[in-house]
Amino acid sequence: MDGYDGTVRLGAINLKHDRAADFDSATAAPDVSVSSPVTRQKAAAAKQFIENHYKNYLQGLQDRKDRRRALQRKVQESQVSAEEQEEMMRNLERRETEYMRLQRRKIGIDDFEQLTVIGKGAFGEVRLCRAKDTGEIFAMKKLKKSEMLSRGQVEHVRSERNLLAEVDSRCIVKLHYSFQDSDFLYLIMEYLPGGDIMTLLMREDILSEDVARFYIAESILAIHSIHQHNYVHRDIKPDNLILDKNGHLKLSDFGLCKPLDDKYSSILLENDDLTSQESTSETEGYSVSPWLMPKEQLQQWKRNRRALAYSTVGTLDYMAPEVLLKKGYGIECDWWSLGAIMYEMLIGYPPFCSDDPRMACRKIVNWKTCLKFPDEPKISAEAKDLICRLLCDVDSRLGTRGIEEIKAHPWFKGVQWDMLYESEAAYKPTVTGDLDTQNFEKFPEVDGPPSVTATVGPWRKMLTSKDNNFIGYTFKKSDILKSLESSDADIRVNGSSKTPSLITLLGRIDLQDTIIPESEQKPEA
Amino acid sequence: MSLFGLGNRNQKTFRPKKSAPSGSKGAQLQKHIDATLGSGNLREAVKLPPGEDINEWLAVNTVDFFNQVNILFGTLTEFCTPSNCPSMTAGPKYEYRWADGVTIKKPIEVSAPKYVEYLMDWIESQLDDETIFPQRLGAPFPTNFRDVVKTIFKRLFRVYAHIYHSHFQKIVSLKEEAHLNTCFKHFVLFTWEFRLIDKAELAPLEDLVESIVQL
Repeated sequence: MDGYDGTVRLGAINLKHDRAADFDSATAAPDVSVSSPVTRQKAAAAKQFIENHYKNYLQGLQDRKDRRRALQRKVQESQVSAEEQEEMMRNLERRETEYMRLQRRKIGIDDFEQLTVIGKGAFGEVRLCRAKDTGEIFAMKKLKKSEMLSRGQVEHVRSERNLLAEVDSRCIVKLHYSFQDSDFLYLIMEYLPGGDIMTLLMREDILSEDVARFYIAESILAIHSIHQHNYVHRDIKPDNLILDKNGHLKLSDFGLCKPLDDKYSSILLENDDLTSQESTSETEGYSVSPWLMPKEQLQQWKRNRRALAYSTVGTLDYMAPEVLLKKGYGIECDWWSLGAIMYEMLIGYPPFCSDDPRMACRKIVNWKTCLKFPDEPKISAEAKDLICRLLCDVDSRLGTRGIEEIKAHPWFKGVQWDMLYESEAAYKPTVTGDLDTQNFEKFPEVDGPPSVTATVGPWRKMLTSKDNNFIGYTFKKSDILKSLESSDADIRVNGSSKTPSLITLLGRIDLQDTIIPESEQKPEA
Repeated sequence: MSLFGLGNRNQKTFRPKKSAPSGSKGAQLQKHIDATLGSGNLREAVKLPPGEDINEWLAVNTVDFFNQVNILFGTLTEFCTPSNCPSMTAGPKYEYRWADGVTIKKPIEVSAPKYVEYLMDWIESQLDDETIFPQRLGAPFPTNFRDVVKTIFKRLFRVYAHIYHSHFQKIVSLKEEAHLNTCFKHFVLFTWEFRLIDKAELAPLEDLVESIVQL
C-alpha cells in the first residue's frame, strides 16, 4: 500500500515464564535523579535531530514515489515506443540513484572556491562562492562557532538553518547545503545579485507608490510563506529583503544574526522610562514635536544605516512593540515591521528612527504619540490608512485575522497576487554576469581566504561538548528535479512544493503517559 | 578466518555468561517501551525503492543508522562511564569484547564507553573509506560490501542492546524513549528486511525484536 497508516506502536513485551527478564530489576524503579544541563541540552538536540530526520526521510520517499508515478503517467500519454518508455524509466532510476549517493556524500569547505565578500559582520561574513564540481555560484554565509556560543546565538543559528531547510518557496532564499568544521558553520545559499531593499532605498530615497506597492505585496507573500510553516521572523527589515537578478524579492537574513536579549536588556529594564513621555521631553530638550528628528539628523541616520546593519547592534527601527517589551507575540509582529518598511519606502525614513537605540525603542513603544506623517512627501490616503492599520495595537492590526484582510486593503486594488512573481518586477536591478556584486557594498580583502583551512572534523565531533550545540547542522537540498528538467525538457515532474508539518506527515504522536512537546521553531534572527 | 577479524570460535566477541540471576520488569517501564513517534509506515519505508540499487540503499541507510545511534548514545555519556559500565554488557547474560581484526586482533575486555568509542571510530573509518562506501558518482561498491554492512549492523545493535538494558530509565528521564524506540524499530525492520543480523545476535533484545517484526 502507498499510504501511511498513522500511528504504529511497538507491541507489548511478552515475557515467558522460563526466560530470564530482559531488564535488570534496578531499572524498574522510577529514577528521580536529575541530569546535568549539558545532558538535557544534548537530549533536546538529539530529539530534534531524530524528528527532523524522519520527517525528511519519509517525505523524501514519498516525493520519490510521486516522481516515478508522474513519469509513468507521462510516458503512457506520450505515445512513444516501449523501448523509449523503458529508457525513460531507467533514466529516472539512474538519477534517483545518483541523488541517493549525493545524500551521503560528505560536503565541506573544500568543495567550494571562495570569491568576493558581499557582507561582513561581528558573527562572520557572507561571500560569493563557486561549487568546484558544477561551477554553480552560491552565497556562502560563514558563522564563527565561538561567536555563536559566546553570544548565546546557538538557538538563532539552529532556527535559521531549520527554517531555510524546511521552507521551500520562491519567496524565500534557497538553502542548498549546510555543514560545519571545527571553527565555523556554513550556509550555502542561493545568490541573489540584485542587492537588498535597503540598497534600493538608499539609492532612490523614496519609491513611487506603484513600486512600493509591488514590493510590499511580494513581501506579504514572502512573510506569509514562513508563517504557514509556523515560523515568526521577528526581524523583518529592508536588509533582509533581497532582490534576484530580475528584481523579484526574497526574504533572507544576509544581515547575519543579531542578539536581542543581550544588547537590549539594559534598555528594556527601564520599562518605566519607555512609557514616560515627560522625562523624555525634559531629557531631550524638545519644545515642539518632541518625537520628531531634525532634518539634518535624518540625513546622518541614513549615512549610518549600512554600517548599523552590520554591527552587533543592528537596528531596532522596524521591530514591533510587543517584541521589544517581551510580551507574548505571534506572527502579527512581522506585519508591524512591514508597516514600518512601507512608511520608509514612501516617506524616505522609518517612522521611529533614531541614532540612539533607546530612543528608537521609546518611540516604538509610544507609537500612539510618535507615529506622524510629514507634510512632504505627499502620499495617498489609502497608503496612509494601510500604514496606520499595520502600525497599531496587535488586536486591531491587519493580518492578525489572516493574510486576506491585508490583501483586501484598497491600496492593493489591482494587484494580481497570483501573478506577482511571474510578472515583470517594478524595478530591474543592473546585473552583469553571474559574478556581479555591484549591488552589494565593497569589502576590502583584508584577511582574504584563510591560508590554512580549518580541518573538517569527523562526524562524531558533532557530539563533543562544543559541537554538541550544532548537532544535525548538515543539510543537502534535493536537486533531482532540476537535473530532470534540464535534460528532459519535454518531461516535467511536479514534486511536492510544500513540506507538511511534522504532525500531518508523521501522524499523531503516541506517547502513552509521556508528553513530548511538539517542536516549535521560532527564528530569532 | 573471517576477513574482518571475527576469528574462530575461541575468539568470539560475543560470549554468553553463565547462571545469570533473574530480575523483574515493571509495568510502568513497559508503557515507555511502547512509546514511539507516529512514524508513518516504517514497514514500507524500509523496502527497496523500485529501480534502486540495493547497495546504494544499504549505504545511505547505514549512514543514517550510524548517525542516530551516535546521537542517542551521546546523550548518555554522563551516565555510561567506565565506573558505571565497566564492561559492554546487554543485561546479565551478554557481554561484548572489542576486536576490529586490524589494530586489535584478539578480543579485549573494555568498558562500555570505550567499546562504543572503538566501535564508532571503526564504523566511521569504514564509511570514510572510498573503496567500501564510494562517494564519487559512478564508482562501484566492492564485492564484499554486504558483508561490511552486516558487521556494522551487528555491532550497532549492541549499542541499542546496552542502552535498553543499562540506561533505558535515563532515556525515559530525558523524555527521549519515543525517539529511541522509533530509531530502534526502524533499525530492526531494516535489518529484518535485508537479513543483516543473525537471529542469535538479536537474543539480548529478543522479545522486543519479536514484538516489532510481528506487527
